[in-house]
Amino acid sequence: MSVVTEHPALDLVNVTIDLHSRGRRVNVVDDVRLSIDAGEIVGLVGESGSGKSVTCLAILDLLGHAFHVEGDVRVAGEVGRTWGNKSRRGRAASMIFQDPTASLNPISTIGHQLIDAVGRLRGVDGSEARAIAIDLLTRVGLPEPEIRLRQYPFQQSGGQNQRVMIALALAGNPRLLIADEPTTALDVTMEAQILRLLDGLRTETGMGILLVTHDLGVVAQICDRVAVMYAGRIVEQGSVADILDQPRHPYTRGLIAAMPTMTGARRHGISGAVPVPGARPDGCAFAPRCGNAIDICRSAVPALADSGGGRIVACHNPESQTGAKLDEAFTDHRAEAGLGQPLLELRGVDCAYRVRKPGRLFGRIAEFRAIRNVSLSLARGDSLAIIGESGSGKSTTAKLVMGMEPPSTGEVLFNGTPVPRLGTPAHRDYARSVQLIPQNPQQALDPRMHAGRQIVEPLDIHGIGTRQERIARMHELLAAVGLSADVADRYPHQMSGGQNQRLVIARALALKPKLLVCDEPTSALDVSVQAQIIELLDELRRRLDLALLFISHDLRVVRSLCRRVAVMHDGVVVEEDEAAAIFGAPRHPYTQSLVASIPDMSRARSTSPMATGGPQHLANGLAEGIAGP
Amino acid sequence: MNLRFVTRKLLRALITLVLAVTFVFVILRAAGDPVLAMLPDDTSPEIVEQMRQAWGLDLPIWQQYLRYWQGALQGDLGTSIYEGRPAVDLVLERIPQTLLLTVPSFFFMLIVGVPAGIWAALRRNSGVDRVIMSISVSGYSLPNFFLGILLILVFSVQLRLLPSAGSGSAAHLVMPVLTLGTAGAGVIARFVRSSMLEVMNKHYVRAAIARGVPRHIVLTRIALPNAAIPVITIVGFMIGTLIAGSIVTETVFAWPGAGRLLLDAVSSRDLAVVQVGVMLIATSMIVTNFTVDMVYFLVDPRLRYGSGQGEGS
Amino acid sequence: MIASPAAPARSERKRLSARYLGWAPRGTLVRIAFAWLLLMIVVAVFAQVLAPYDYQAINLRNRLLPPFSSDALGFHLFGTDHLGRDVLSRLMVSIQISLLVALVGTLIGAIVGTSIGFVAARARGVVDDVVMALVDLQASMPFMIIALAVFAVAGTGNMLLFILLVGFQGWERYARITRGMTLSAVNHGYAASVRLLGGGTFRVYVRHILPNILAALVVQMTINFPETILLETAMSFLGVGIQPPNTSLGNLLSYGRDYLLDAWWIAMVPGMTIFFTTLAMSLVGDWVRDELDPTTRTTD
Repeated sequence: MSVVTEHPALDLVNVTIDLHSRGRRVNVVDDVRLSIDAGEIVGLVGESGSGKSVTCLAILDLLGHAFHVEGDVRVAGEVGRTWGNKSRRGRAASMIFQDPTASLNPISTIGHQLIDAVGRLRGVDGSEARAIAIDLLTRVGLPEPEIRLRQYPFQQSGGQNQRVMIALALAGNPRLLIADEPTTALDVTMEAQILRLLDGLRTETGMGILLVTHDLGVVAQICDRVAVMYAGRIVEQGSVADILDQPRHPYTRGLIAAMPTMTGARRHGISGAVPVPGARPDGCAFAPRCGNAIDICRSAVPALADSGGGRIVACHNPESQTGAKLDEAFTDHRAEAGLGQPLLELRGVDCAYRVRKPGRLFGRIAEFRAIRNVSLSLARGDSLAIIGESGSGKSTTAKLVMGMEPPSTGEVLFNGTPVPRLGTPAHRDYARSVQLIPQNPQQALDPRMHAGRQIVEPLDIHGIGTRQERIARMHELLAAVGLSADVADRYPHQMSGGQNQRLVIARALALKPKLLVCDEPTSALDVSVQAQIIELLDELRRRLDLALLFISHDLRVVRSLCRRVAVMHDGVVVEEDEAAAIFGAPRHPYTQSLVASIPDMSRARSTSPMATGGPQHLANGLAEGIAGP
Repeated sequence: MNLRFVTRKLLRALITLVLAVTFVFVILRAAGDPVLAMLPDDTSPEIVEQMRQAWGLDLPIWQQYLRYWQGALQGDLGTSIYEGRPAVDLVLERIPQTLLLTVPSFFFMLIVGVPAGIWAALRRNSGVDRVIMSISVSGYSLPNFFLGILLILVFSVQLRLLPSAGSGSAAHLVMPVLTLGTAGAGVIARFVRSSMLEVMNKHYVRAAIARGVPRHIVLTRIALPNAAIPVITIVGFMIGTLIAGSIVTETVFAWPGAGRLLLDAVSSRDLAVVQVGVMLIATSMIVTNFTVDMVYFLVDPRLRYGSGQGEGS
Repeated sequence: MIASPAAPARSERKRLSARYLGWAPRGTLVRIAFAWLLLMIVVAVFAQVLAPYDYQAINLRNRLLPPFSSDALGFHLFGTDHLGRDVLSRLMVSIQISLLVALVGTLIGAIVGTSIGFVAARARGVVDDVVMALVDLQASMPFMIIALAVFAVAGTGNMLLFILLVGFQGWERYARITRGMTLSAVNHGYAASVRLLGGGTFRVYVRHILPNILAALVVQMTINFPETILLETAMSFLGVGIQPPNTSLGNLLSYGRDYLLDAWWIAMVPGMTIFFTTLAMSLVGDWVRDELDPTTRTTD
């Protein structure tokens, strides 16, 4: 049986979604037009609040009664909520989510969930359903499918669970797969594998994929086309190559500039935030954040204009230059640093924890060596990144530097003297020189204290200045980290994640430290905000002659920030070098695999064969996909 | 299989039991000379001394403690000063009557509370939800002794439908069971409702709906089993309130159960009976808690295969 | 913001907890509950002034007068009891005692429990283990049983001991909350940050952890308060609580039980008072919980 449908996998025709709440009608998604061909992968990109998730949920008719959807949602040509005479969900279209482990029933085996889905969606049962389940698990690349069937979601890794989610989605042979940030919660190596799997499946089954993501690197790697959404509207749409090389909408351009790149170009965040539905400005919703905004932008909503070649832009004053290099040449503005006596030095440091051996009631105490023989050094004003996956020992290294853990052997020296233990009087003075920027700013701030008081607190602790001087310094610090003076009277929960992280940085700077230890300071933040924080840290480093010890799992984040990079794996530093060398010519196999698995816009476009796959070569794949049992 | 979980819970139950017995011992000894407390004030000193020796009260405290354990393990916990019979026998005799009251109340609580909670959750924010939750919050704000009296006023005094006191027939059971079970049903309804609402917001429920699992199957096979897990705890907890409530209920309805015996023993300071009652309640609570843990173990694969979740103390 | 359909539902759910009796708008109901509690407090404070008669004055000629009746002495709003005493006057004095016991008891439980929780969190190790074992023991035993055991030994009638004992109810929950929140703040929260800034133990505990825990403790107190009222009235009802000549709502109800056939009001008046008070406290508690939760408060 070979059916080649002429229908696109998805066709959204003038879809508008309103939210009715407390007697008010708020527009969430406005006049979205988007079509996905069979076998095509289309990226839907935008910051949180842009309306992309609501759009996806509308396709599957998953929005609550409070939402009102207008316009046509056609999946494989069929309008309405049905497929045949049954529900569209699972059959015509299926969906996978950001957090795969949380998306599987925790108290039911994978086999149970999968066989149940197969039975229901394909109308088979017993051993036949089981055989199909095993086949699906094999197709999504899970080895030993028989064993998987008996396992529970919590017994598998996130990547494995995402494969199971994909298998579940495939159970009904859908024509459309909606993938909502499918790799955001995964490690970089896992991310690459899942993307490869999706890319293979669209060819194999001919289903169209709507890939919702905030990560343009992911888009560059596997998408054919991309639609950029902002404040409920699609503002630009076109082929990946066109959009990424020559973005015409200023927002798209901003998003691209905010992406960390392999070339290490400086990142630029987009200032401001996405307006909340109901509080969107008149005219172009992006105008308040737009550098190109002209008068008409503030009064009239720009219409989507076709500029040829499937390229659509909604902007009164689009970027005109076509050849502008976004990736400005990488100038090593950090070259001057790294000389002189080291400010921080780790010499042959081991750190062992004592843990109870599992499996015993009065468990024997076992030693767990978190890091082994680590030697690093960092000079005044210099920047060093420590890269590694969870469990590599990078966080332990941060704790050692902060004096939160003592080294078992070796020395951790600051200015030539050993780092004092936290809680000792000597550590009080040490705190004036070294401060921590933690991963989760919301947690690091006292939820019941005004922002201003939190900044003043370190001055208060160390008895610096009079009351007036402290308040003056507080305003100085707020300005230095780019916060307006009025946030001083706010509580942390009244501020955004990015603002909170700025607040934490301001508090850390109050004591004029010489070293900032940044422990994944941006991993909890939106991409555009990430770039702002990185920019801020870089600026502060240069202006205040700060040394930065930057801990991260994301190679790209540190590329533009740090002069040197140390890669940790299983508690050992496997490679340490200048950033350019690490990225350009990684020597250790682990570093090589890390560098290779990064989805990157520039590299994907030039080298990855996946990106060339498009609707044109799906004919044979399509036939196979539809000829399911 | 994660047997460590089972052994740990078993060990914890034993430790709690030891603590409970020790608590009773300490209370009995610390609050003054039990012999003096028991005997009338005008008892002659010789008899007091005799009693002390007979009870081993002249021994060092740790020996008394060991002897106490010895007695407890052999089921010998002294003699009631009023009845002159072993306290254990006295209490055990009354247990069937108390079970006759508490077991139906327990099921009443579940049969009313669980469906009401589910219904309210499914009809969230509707009139049904509000009515159920209003009854629920009134139910557990209403003191059980007052509810008992209200029932007597309506069904015995006004309508003359049901007997106001005593036991023996099914009609005797109606009001005590309502009195004892209402508060628990209210608490369970509220808890089931919030547990259901929480589970229905979980990613796996949303994901199941997204891949086309029909609503009734999502509810019965995914949402309900997951929502039931936290409810197990509250059900275990309700057994404790049933025991405490049975003392009140038995008093209101002149029900000849162990609860009233315990109360009478407290009023008349019949210490032997009191300690048997307290130990029995402590033991049943410890058994209940252990059972709750084991039910968790059976229901939740995360415990069975030891991912460590939900094991916090 | 509108990331998923769950988002509006979640905030909806938070609001809902405070409006179970949803026929009336949420605010109105809470206001009525507040008004009732205020009335109870006024009555409790000024019971002796407000009471129309001496609550102990026996008048055997006017036994069991129904509500709204008058005798030679005057008007009896809630009638008289089996000894001809004015029910309203007795009610007022009972409210005074019951509220006093509940208030003092709640404070005792909060102070004792919180201190124990702090000690456990600060000391860790064996102390922590022992405290947590005691907490578990307490949590698994109905408190009333423990109170009964103590009274069996110490005898009833000692009001101070009674208040102390009633107060201990719920200490384990305060201890658990305090310990848990302290540990999480110290291990990976704001308290850790303050320590890294150079702040000392005093600053961490008094300036940061205590204010943060306070909200949770107040919420716990609003849960504990009605429970304490119920415990006191139940024990007084059973004859092992407040003893004559003192009187509490439980005592009144217990006398009323013997006269249900002839004089329903003797039981109904204190019974409804207890019911309304615990109900009002539950509603106000829900409201307080919403107000004090810093994550739901978006504007100041």
